[in-house]
Amino acid sequence: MSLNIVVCLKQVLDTQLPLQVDESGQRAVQDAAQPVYIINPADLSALEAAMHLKVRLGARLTALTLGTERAVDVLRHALARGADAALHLVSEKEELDVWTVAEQLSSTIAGLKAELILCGDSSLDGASGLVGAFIAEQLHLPLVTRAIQLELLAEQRKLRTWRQMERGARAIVECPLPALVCTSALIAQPQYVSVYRLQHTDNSRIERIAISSVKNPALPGCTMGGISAPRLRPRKMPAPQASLSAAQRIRFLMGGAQPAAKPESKLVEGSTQEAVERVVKFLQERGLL
Amino acid sequence: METASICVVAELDENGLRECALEIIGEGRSLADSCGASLTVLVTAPAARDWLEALKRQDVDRVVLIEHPLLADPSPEIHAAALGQWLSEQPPALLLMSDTVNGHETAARLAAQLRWAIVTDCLWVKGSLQSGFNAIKPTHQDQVHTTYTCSPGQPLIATLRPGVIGTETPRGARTAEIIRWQPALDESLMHVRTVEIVPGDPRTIDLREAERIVAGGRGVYMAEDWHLIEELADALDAAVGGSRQALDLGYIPNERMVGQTGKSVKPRLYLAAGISGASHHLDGVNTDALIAVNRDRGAPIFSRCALGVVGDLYEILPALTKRIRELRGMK
Repeated sequence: MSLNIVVCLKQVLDTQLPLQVDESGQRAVQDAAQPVYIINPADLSALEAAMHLKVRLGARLTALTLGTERAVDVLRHALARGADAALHLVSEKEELDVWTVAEQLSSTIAGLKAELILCGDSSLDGASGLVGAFIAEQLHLPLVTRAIQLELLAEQRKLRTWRQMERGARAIVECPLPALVCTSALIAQPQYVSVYRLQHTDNSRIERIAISSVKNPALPGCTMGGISAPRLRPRKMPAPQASLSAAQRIRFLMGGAQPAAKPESKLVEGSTQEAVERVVKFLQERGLL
Repeated sequence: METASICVVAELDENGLRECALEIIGEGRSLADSCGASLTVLVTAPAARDWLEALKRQDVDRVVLIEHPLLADPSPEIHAAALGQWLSEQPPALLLMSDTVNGHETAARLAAQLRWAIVTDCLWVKGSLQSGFNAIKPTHQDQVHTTYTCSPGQPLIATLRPGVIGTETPRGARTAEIIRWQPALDESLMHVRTVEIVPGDPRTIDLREAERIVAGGRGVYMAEDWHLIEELADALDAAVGGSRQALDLGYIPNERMVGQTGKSVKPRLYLAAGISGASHHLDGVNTDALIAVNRDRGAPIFSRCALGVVGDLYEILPALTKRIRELRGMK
């Protein structure tokens, strides 16, 4: 079975370089004469994960991007990396809102008959982490986010995914194909692509579709109010008890506001054997063993 | 609908209410107070447990408990479906959620289903019912903050970055009304199923996230002896931490130090061996189960611990490790 995989890629400003707010207060710009753009790292990892699947199972890989003329670089990279086809949705406007992007991408993907759609989890710039979920909803596809490992059970037309959860935990989930998976940047380490391959990528293999960048008024959403320098939010903490002395209250706040109540202390003095048994009993009582 | 409401979705884990849930409840409370709105907390669970009592003690007006056996699957799909059914009937002005892994996905699914405005991973939400809400979020890898404005009258979903807001002690001035509600869910709504949850490796996770910590200090005389701490931690599935002394002596890397100048930790178990318990260290430790092992009977840690063992860690730790391994059937 040859699998159809679509990978959505986004071109973003390289945030490793220092950014500033421009005069209009509406955009973040690089402090450089020639701004540097890269492929969003999570998307690039998604492409790499798709390449692994292609090598193992055989698949047809389509790279899809939505962006201005400049974004063609992303697709050249994708082709150099081994994508079979490339689609460029050309917009005139720089920044489109997530609803418009999701609507445009999903209407394109709907015509591609894809079994698996991969997106990066979130972008470096806007970092909303929404487009994948919105596409999945529009196309009525199962959605898995934060994927860190993929296993395709092609015969059963099933996908098994490891999700990256908090506290280092992994959730293993299964869903039928076709499906949309948002990948973590850790899912695969992008390989090196030689300059030769990049130079010899044929631009004519990139299919261009012009799209309207006017937002459909029926779509919901917020308006971007502006960009500012980051300002930290002070963290709330529980008020110190009034019964404490001033010095104790200061210490309480400096120490991350831990409760001042002391648990009742029990001391064990005796043989090692005895001490061990007491600790074990304590752990068992608290359900820690 | 009586008064416009602000809704909060409280996330649960196996130990009950998550701390991020308390954070957004507090944030919801202060927003509701400034707007003159009521605060409703939504919880999705297979059945009520002891966390319901904890929720009642928060300053909320209403707790909506969405109960269904299928909600036992932690995968966000079914939880979003259940929440969507309630919210489409009773849309709030503002819905706050935590930007955890599952919280983020649930919020994105809800926004897509209900076609509501959404801003994810916010640091602040400000505004009023009349003028609409502003949500401020870090973008471009936290290099700048972007403000999004949502016009009044349309519901806004905002997910808040966990750990940023902090919690306050609830005033306890209100008694929450509890509404139990059963959504119409069935298996056909579940396309993504959880097969297994594999817990994280305590050796590598961040100390602030660790559920159990075994920490050592100056009482370990040489770096060659640090394995005593590590072996006990292994036997208990605990993370290894240390005091400033342990860091200075090179036993632990910087990110493993607990205390005022290190990490503030909140484990369920903290076993301190060879740590005298100066306030610089203990002010960073918040736990009910603090076990201390120290030779010095007068060490300050013994006045703060739940169980103190006066003795030599070189004798007690290996014996304890051995006994725990036996009990847990480890080789």
